[in-house]
Amino acid sequence: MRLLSKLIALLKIYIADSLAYRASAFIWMLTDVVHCLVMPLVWLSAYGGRETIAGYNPGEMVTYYVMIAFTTNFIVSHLMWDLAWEIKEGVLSQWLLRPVSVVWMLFARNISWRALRMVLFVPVAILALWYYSRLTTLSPLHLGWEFWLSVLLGHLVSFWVAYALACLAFWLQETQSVFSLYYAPMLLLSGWVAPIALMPGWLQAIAIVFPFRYTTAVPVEIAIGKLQGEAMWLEIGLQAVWVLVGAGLAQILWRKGLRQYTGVGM
Amino acid sequence: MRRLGFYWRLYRAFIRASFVREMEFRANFWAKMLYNALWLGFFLATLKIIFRHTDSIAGWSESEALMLAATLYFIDALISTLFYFGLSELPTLVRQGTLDFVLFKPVDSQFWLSLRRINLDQLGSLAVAVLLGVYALFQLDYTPSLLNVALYFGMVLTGVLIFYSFHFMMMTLSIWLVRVENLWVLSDVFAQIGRFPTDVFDRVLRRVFTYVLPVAFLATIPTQALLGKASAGFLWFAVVWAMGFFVMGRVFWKFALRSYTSASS
Repeated sequence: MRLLSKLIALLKIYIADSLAYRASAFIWMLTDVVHCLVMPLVWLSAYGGRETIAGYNPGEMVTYYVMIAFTTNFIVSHLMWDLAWEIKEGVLSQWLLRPVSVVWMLFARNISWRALRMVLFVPVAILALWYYSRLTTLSPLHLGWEFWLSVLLGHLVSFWVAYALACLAFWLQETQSVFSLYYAPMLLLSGWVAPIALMPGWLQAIAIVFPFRYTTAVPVEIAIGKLQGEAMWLEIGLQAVWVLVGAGLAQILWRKGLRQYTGVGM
Repeated sequence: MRRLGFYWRLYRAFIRASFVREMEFRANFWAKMLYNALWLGFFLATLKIIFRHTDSIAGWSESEALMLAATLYFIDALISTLFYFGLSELPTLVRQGTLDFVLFKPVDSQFWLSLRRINLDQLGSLAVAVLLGVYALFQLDYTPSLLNVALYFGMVLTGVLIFYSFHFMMMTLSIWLVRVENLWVLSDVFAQIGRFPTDVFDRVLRRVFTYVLPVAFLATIPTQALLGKASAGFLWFAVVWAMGFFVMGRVFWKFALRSYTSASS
């Protein structure tokens, strides 16, 4: 229970903190707004009278992009940029002295920001769905508790991967370029660019062995009804496996890194 | 005329300083080259995924869309070489109050802010963009007339000028929005809209992206000019619009400076 009250206190701090940066949050969100405006229109102009493309009818395609933009706002973590800087500059030292573990602090900070981003995106998603409903018949949304479970697991996968990535800052002088390189495969294999079913077979095979598919692609495929029943539970199970793998990896790197850590600025 | 000579000498000094800087961080130079190549690959993959499933989007064939991508990549490389990174530092200068030193200099502040940083790692991207464009034209089996090539590069320049003015205006917002650290995202979003032909939009949005937020001038209109699909009157309009945008950026900057309060003093 002590942990719970600490966590609530942390969340209060970081929600207030995130709200102070709502203008930044709004600007970041525009990337997703444009994505879910341009990509569906590109695809809609590609159908040329056909019923489906790789099993996606126009309504599903459109809904897919609105949902991928919506979930990305909550799920995809970019915490490595700040954390790497904080490790480099020695800000980490003061956190290590606090009576709360750094992991919980980072988790609270990250999820507060992601939650704000998601809330900001809700009106955009509704507006986008309304706009597209005039162009095509939207696919029904499956937003049951399975979807939200998958969203939460996806968030944890992304959180731990970003965390593990940030640990590189313990060893590397320059992490920025490594982080930049991370984005191209991440955006491609997480289903942000296009539904994975539309990719060539070899790319789909690659997507299965990377964690990115288990961040946003799985919950979105659940939301538009592409994943149901046993297949859905299999994917949710794989998400849980990736949470454990990611957590393990991040923890190992973090412990090793802390032994390296010299605490600049102490 | 003497003033012009002064600015030319100053610009040459900027190039020298940028070159020296680049040579100091050679590992970073190669990392950035790799990064540029990766992003090109990423966008080409996006196009490939789309054209696996269709012959055309909004009347653009795969090779035409590839030409458009090459054009945008070319413009992007020009922008990054000439002014993007220098201008993007403006919000930091405002936040730290060091913009004061820029304003004190006996040089036009817009000139100094825009052109001080020349980014040489983009030269590779420029070459790749040209190769990609030539490849797309081969695929199309189309040899543009000399006039169309001239129009194309003219339109590319208007595209660069429009992006420049847009980016300058977005960065100028930092005079008021001191705490917003990601204003550069606004300019990236602007370019992001231009990655596909603006013909995918409906009539209303197409007008918005031509006349209000002139994204169409970045890649769609230059490519149309090259392929001989743009009307001459419209190209004149592009030139006028680009110059209008430039003037707007300058007026906006002068106006913003009146509100500048300097963080340090």
